[in-house]
Amino acid sequence: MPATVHQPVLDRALRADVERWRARGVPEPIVAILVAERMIPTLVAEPGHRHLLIVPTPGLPTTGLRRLTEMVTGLPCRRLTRVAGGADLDEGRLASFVAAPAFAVAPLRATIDAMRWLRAVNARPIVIVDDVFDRLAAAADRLAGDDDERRWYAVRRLGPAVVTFLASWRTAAASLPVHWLRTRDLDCDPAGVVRRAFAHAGFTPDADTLAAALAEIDIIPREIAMPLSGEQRAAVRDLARAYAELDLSIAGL
Amino acid sequence: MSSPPPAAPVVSIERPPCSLDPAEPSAADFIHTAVRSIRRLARTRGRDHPHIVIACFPKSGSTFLATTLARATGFRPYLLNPIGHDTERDIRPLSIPMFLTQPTVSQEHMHARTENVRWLRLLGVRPVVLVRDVFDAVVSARDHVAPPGARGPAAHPPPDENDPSVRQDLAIRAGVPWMIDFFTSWRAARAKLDVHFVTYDELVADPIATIERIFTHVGMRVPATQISDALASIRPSEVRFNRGRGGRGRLELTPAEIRLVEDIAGTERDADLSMIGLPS
Repeated sequence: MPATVHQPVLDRALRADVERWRARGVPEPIVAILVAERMIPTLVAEPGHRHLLIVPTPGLPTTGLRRLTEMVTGLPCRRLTRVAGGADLDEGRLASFVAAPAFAVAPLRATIDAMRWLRAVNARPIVIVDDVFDRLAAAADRLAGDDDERRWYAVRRLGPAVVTFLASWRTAAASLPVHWLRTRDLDCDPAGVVRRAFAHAGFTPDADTLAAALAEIDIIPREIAMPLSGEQRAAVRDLARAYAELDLSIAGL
Repeated sequence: MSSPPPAAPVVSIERPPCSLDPAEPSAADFIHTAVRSIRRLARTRGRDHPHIVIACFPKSGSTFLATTLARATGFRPYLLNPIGHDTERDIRPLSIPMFLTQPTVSQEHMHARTENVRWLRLLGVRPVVLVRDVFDAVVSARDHVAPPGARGPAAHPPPDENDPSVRQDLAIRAGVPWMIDFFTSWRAARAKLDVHFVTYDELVADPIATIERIFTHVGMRVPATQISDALASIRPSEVRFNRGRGGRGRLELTPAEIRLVEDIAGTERDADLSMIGLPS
């Protein structure tokens, strides 16, 4: 059975565009997609299902987080980014995301466009941050090659994405209710930290289910094998120099 | 009194195998179904019209090249990601349907990420990759980002950052890794796509011959007179040409800045970066 849109759903401007597209000979399946695209802002603005949006710093392991959230909330995980592992929100995927209860774990950057959409869906994101130097050292641990080369690669090539991610969310927090979850806080009270984060997004996890999930799934990032050198740490701080107005101390900067 | 009959559907689309629960509201179901059908549509209609797609460095003369190609062919300039202010310019699936209805010329600062390559293959596109000497691109980017609030995919400076030295520094520290990743991603994509590389210096030195080679690559024959007429019709102001010459980078950057660019390039061990002016 085809999916349909009836006359009252289309406003006058959209109906006029449909007629224009048809007059131009635009094939009917394409007209349908163009109509769907125009309906997305209306759909996402309607109050609907509850959603959980978890935004980890790029490079943080996310498999455990996904499994834990699935176990605790019973919701399915949906992808929100345009490309796998990417940092940009895709509005087509957002429309599917808001159409049913779901959660997402995505290292989204708080771009102008993403902020517009996240405000439209009244998102209450949980942003997970780690010490930026540890995060880059951990990324270097996963690379092949000489110790020093791997660390410089992490600093020079992966550092910009991590620093711009942090800066974008520190800016975004002024206009979106962001809950900051620091990975180091997971060491002492993982259940309390997760419970407070989920509560921010409107979910109250069952204490027993959460305890069972935390007993089974390790969400604490592994110890790093070798920290960054003083020179490498200075290079990371230089990267952050453009964001002197922002308080990035939450990530150790 | 009986209720009025339901209105006839005005737009409908065939459901792909996977759809939302039928109990969901019809608008959500309709949007979900439509979005999921884009790939199928690209597969069946991707070759209905010719397309030229240019993946390009920032400040590489891409607007000049795309405008010339559009004028020489009459194809419509088209953005495959028209809404990215400070986002990466990955192909936006919702922009594909209109792309399929007409011959187009697109320019995007787009890496060859797996999904971009998949879309281009599906659409039968043979991309043109436009690159530039990194030192020149950095200097040109510094000039370009000078207006307060300017943002780009390669970096995300605070909107109120006006200090030129900080902007220059960010153009190197964030922009150079972006350009190296861009270049190496497209070199790797040659295994899956028929990619044609063009440099800014080639384009500026001999635009007609360079553009003829691009048309040959995409399988089109366009007379040289049509290309020269298109070139003659372009005013520098409409294509955002900054200075239009190469070699500025190494002259205008300080020795410390040049060393920083080279240090960043030094992290790339496997690729030959000489095409973008970096030591291999």
